[in-house]
Amino acid sequence: MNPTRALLLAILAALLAPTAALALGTWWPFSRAPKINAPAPDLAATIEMGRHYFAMSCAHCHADDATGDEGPNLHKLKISDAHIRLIVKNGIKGEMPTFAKKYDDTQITAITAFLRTLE
Amino acid sequence: MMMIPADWWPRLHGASTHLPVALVPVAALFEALSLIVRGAELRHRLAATSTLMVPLAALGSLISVVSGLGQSHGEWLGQGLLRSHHLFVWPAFALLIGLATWRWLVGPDPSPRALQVYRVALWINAGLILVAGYWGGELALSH
Repeated sequence: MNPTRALLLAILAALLAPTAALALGTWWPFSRAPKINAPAPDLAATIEMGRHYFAMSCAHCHADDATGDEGPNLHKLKISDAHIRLIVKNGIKGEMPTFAKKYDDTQITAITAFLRTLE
Repeated sequence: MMMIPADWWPRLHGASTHLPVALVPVAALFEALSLIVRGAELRHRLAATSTLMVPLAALGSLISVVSGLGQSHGEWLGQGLLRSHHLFVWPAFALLIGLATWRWLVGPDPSPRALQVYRVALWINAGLILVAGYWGGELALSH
């Protein structure tokens, strides 16, 4: 193939591949969590609910103030809300149990909202 | 519409992402070695192996990127460590697809000058992928 043509096609592929991947990620509902980001009627109440769930299910590993004990410190988490929800929901194999059966998406969102308040 | 359980994405991402993470740096290393080793046959074998690794890495990166988007619930940039990971993933992915496409189109004997540019781009790509992999590892270990 003509080298110039090959180069142009390679550049086109380089641009199209990420674009297609992003379009797929946006469009395909495979990655869409259930609608758990619906605006909470009362953020303070949601956070308080999350604090309650945290105390019931998380504090014995992460400490009452979430500064870490058996589990890690949860203050100033640098991961996205979606990622926090995913971890709470699915756990971490060998390290943290899954809470998918104990808490529904709204409750996990509340826990996430509470964790976001930890400075 | 095809629905895939959410816990499959981290597994698929973990399994597929190591293809480009491993193959591209080794391909870049083999290209470098092919410039300095003595013996035409060894040089040729190193370059040929490197050439084979790049499209395999590109195929792996396609699966890795799609599963990564699934894992992050469609977040293409995100915050914190995820953002750091993505800032290197996207240019690395684009460059890898471009390199694999070009290498496939030009065949086994591109011009020496074009091959030089290709090697430099491959070395840059290896750097981008390693940094993306570093942040990906930090992301996985930060929990």
